[in-house]
Parts: sequence; C-alpha cells; structure tokens
Amino acid sequence: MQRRTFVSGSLAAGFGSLLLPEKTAANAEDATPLNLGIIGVGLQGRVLINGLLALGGVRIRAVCDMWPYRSTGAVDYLKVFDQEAAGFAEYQEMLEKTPDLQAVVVATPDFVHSEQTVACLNAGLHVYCEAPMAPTLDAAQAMADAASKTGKLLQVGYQRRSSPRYQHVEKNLIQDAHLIQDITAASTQWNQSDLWELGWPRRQAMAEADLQRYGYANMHEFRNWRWFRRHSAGPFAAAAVHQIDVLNRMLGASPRTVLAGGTTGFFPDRECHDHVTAIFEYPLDDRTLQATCQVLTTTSGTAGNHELLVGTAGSIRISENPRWAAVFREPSAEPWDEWVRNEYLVKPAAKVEPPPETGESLDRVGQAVAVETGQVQQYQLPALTHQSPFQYHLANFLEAVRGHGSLNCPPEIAIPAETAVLRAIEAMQAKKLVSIFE
Amino acid sequence: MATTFTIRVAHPDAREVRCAVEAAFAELDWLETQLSRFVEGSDVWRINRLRQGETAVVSLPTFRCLDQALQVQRQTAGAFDITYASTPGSNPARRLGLTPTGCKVQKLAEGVQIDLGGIGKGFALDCMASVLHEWDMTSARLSASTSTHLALDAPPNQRGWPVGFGPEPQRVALRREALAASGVGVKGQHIVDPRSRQPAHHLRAWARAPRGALADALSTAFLVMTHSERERYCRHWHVEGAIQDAPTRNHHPG
Repeated sequence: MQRRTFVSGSLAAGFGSLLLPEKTAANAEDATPLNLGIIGVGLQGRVLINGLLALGGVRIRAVCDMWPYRSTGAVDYLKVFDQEAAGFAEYQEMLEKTPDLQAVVVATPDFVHSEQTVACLNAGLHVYCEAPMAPTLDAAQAMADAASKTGKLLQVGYQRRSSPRYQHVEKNLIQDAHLIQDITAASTQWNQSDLWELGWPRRQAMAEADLQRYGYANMHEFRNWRWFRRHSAGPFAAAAVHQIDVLNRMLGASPRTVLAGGTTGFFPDRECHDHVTAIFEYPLDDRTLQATCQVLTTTSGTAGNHELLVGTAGSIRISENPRWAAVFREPSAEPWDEWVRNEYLVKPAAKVEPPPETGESLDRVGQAVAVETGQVQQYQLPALTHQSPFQYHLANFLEAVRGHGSLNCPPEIAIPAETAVLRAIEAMQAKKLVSIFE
Repeated sequence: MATTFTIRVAHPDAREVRCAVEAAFAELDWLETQLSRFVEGSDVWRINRLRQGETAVVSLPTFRCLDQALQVQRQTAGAFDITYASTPGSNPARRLGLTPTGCKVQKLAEGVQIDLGGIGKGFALDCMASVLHEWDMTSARLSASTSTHLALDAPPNQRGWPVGFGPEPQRVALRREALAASGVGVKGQHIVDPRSRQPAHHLRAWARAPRGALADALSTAFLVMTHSERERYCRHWHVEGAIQDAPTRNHHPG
C-alpha cells in the first residue's frame, strides 16, 4: 500500500502582526496554571492535548475516555510532561473525583457533545467543545442555553475564528481595505478522502456490553461513528459548519435559504452523505448572494479545503493550508501596490511572461490607446500563522477563562452556522428549498 | 516529507491489514504535522522561529526524533547535523538544549535552524512500525521512497525482506533492522559536509542499522565522512556501511 505525503509550504517571509495582536507561550507560562480535564482523547484529543502542552500554563488533571486503550495511553503520555492526570471512563466520575477542575475540553463524538458540555457547565466549569456542536439543533441550543444560564464560558471549536490568517482576511482585507470591493459570490469546498474504515487492535477491543452502554452496537460502529446518523450529522456537517461560519463572518450575514443535494451511494455501508453540494442564499444589504458548499469524501484532490470569496475587484481564496490560499486581482481593478507596501498582501516575484497580446482601450481623455490584454494577477497572503490552528483557538479560550478578553467563538456565534448546515441536510432529504430561520 | 511511503505486510487477514496500515499512515500524517519545517505551526516550524534562549514544548515524537538526531551528531562528530542550515558562527554542539521532562527544546544560539530531512523518514518508519506492532502485524517491510527500508520479522519461510545494498548491488535479507541510502547521483549535489561546508565526498552511501532513524541519519553522514571515519564508526557502533565514489565505482565495505 502506498501513500504520498505532501509538504505544504509558505514561501512568504515573516511579517509583522498588522492589526492582529498575538499571544505568546510566555504569557501563558507566567500565569497561574489552569486545572483542565479532557473528555475524549482520540485523534482530535491528541491534537488538542499537544496544543495545550505547547501553550503552557495548564495542568491537565484528568482525562476521560470510554476506551481504556486511549485513556491509559493519554495518562502515560502526559506523565512525560510532568502532568499527573487521573484517567476515567465516565465523565460523571471525572467531575465528581476531580473537584479542582476549572475547565474541560470536549473532543468526543458529536452525539455526546451536548450531554457532556451541559453537565460540565452545570458543574461550574468552562468548556471548550469540538465542532460541530451537535447533530441536532435542539442539542446545540441546549449547550448555548446552559452556557447562558450558568454564566460559564463555552468556546465552540471553530478554530478559524482565532486564526491570524482568517482574521487578517476579515479585518484587514475585507473590512479595512475593501480589497475585492463588492462580494458577489462565494463557494466552499472540502475534499477529504475518507475511503477506509477505522479499525482497532484486536486485543484492545471493548466488550459489546460495554459498548452498548455508551450507545454503540459494536467496535466497528464505535470507531467509525461519523458514518452513523444517530452519532453524527456526518462528514458534510463536520466540514461545512466551519466553512459556513467563515462565510457568515466575511459576509457579515447568515444564509436565509438552502437547497442541497447529496448521495449516500458511494459507500453503501455508511448512513451519512458521502457527497454533498448545497447552495445557500445570503441576504445582503443591496442584493442576495449565492454561496455553493461542496463536501466530498472520496478525494483529497483539487485544492483540498478552502473558502472562496468573489468580488468585483478580485477574489480571495482562504484555507488553513497556506498552499491553497491566494488572492486574485481583476484586470480592471485599481492597482494593489499600496496593500503590498502595507504588507496586507505579498506579490510573488515577477516571472518572465511571453509577449502580451495587445488591444485597444480608451485613455482618460477618450483617446484610443494600445494596451496589454489584462490578466488576473495572483498575490499571496502574508505568513502570519506561527502555531497550529488549534493552538490559537485554545489560547483564546484559556485567556478568556483567565479573565482576559472574550471568546472568539461563543455558542451564539456558532449557532447560525450549525443551523444552516443542519437545514441543508433537511433540504437534501426533502429535496426542496428550505428556509433556515423559520 | 514529500515521499511515497510503502508498507508490505505478511498476514492472512487482508481487511485487518488494511486497517492496521491505515492506522500507520494516520501516524505518518500526524508526524508530518509535527516534523515538517514547511507546515505552519509544526514543532519544527516553531523551533525555527524561537529566539536565542527561548524554549518550546514539543510533542513526544518530535522530542525523540531530535534526541536521536543529536545522538548521531555526537557519535559522528558532527558529520550528521540537523542544524547545518544555521547561521555560521555558533558551535554546532551547542545550538539546541533538550530537557526530557516536559519535552522542552531550547534554542541556545541565534540563527539556529533545524531540518529533519536527513532523519525524518527513517524516524517515521520506526513510529509506523510501532503502530503495526500494536496491531500484532509482526511481519512487515516499511519503505520511504526507495531510499529507506525498515523490516520487522521475515515473511513466512523467508530469511528476510529482500533489499539491495551497496553499489553492486548486493541483495540482503532484511529482518528486524533498517537500511538506508543517500546520494547525490539522482538529485544532484544537495548534501554538504556540515563540518567543512564542502560538497559530499561520495556519490552514494548506504547504512544498515537496527532502527530506521539511525540508518537514515547514518546514510547521510557516511556520504560526507572519510573512509577511515566511516570504518571506525562502523566498528565501534556495530553497524554496516558502504560507499560508492564517483566517477569510478569503488565499493568500500564499512
């Protein structure tokens, strides 16, 4: 079996922080350590644990996972970092036996996010919960209500909210520079090959009676929970909530209606859609805008995951992966030299081009002049990101818990994207246009 | 790592193999996010952006890879050096400080840059092999491109996994050991002796060692070490090496 791994690169040199103040690990280390618990220490849990350790300023006092293989491994891993964490299978026991916790990170399958988050909030803890919030709107709303009722912080794991690259696009390129002028269309794509099932080392299998206690029929269903509608709204929801939230913030609006189509046929053993294309309609001040959203689970090709904003003066393609991020200037747009000088953009080194075709245009006094045929010019975004995407979002959460600043993604920010995406699934099932906020 | 990784497993259950191999590749994906100097926010990315005196906490795999790299650097008296691209002037042996508790990496000099390109592939194979062991896949060969191979137990009724070694090439049966090759014959001159900043002495070098990371690093070191340095190293550390010089094809078993 073969696989090619790709190294993504950023050619841009380091730039200043522009309008974006950055927190450093040193800030966190100077602060009193926060006592944290982690619920769910699978693949994403590992990413978050390493992000927290790299940030510093935390004591991970407890880890909880229903799979002993995972919880034991996490406890052992943390010992290397001088973190004496207790391992638990049940989050209720973790809450009861670790009374000094101040916050909890939830990185479990989607269908238990709401129950666990609400319980932790009600126990007086702040919560960072992975996205999507929940497979149903009622469950997501229950999380928001619990945060509101308890006054505790709930950070939803839309990590792009804390990404310097995304913040740069939103605050500097769109709001400050109006770089691409009127945004008239948008699209998102998330191509991530998910061809094979996740297995498990046979000697680490859990007993079926134990699995059923947690809501799974067997190990296959537990390991591949995202394929099953009772555990998740599927890969489409997992990807699209992030991307619709990006569009919501860049457009300053939420979509009003959605039309969607999807298939479940490619993977006959999976309940959730494997391919989805949705069209969201955004009401803007003076017009409506259609945004397409495509999620494919059979390929990782053709520019991976990104969001594209199309304006009258250019287009901005944003991605967590810098290799897919780029900015394109329309030939008719005013020059962007000012934004290059201000380090809002990076102009690639000039390439030797073939001789241009010529055409006729009018100069300022109406005389016909010969000019080069215009070409779309491509620019890069400056390299602003120095940590993993999750580190920025975790750092924002920890700072807010310490009383410094506010959350970048409280539930009231996430709920519109969660609603839009779950309505898209309804639209697919009903095969009709669905109103998002009824 | 911009390289094709291949895993061959001798096991009767194809579905089980598929899941185990997917888990090993997932580990590779994870390592890539930590070890690549090109991935924004990776451990290596963060280390390269530290200032002198600053410390980064890295993941355990990254720490182990750095630790092994610095061990080989010491053992080869600097012929292998992951900090070769640093600003000249600082002592290569005093560029990074590692603290095992907490997996802390301190930058000891300004302008230090690390590049795990000479050891990362072999280290990744070691980590992927650990995953296969967890899955009780004990008979396997893991390869990074055609240059680095790590063998676990031999296939049934075989002495080992056949791999070419040395300039002739000699066919060896690899079992519970690794073999790596480095050279400037295919990619051109891209390796310099970190000690002298001169181009590699040899056209190709091979190393056969107990672990992938060690074989990978040694194949790079052997490319710039003199014959006597390599022979001394191989005798002392009980590994095997071979060299091909340009333009004549001389084989010097280590």
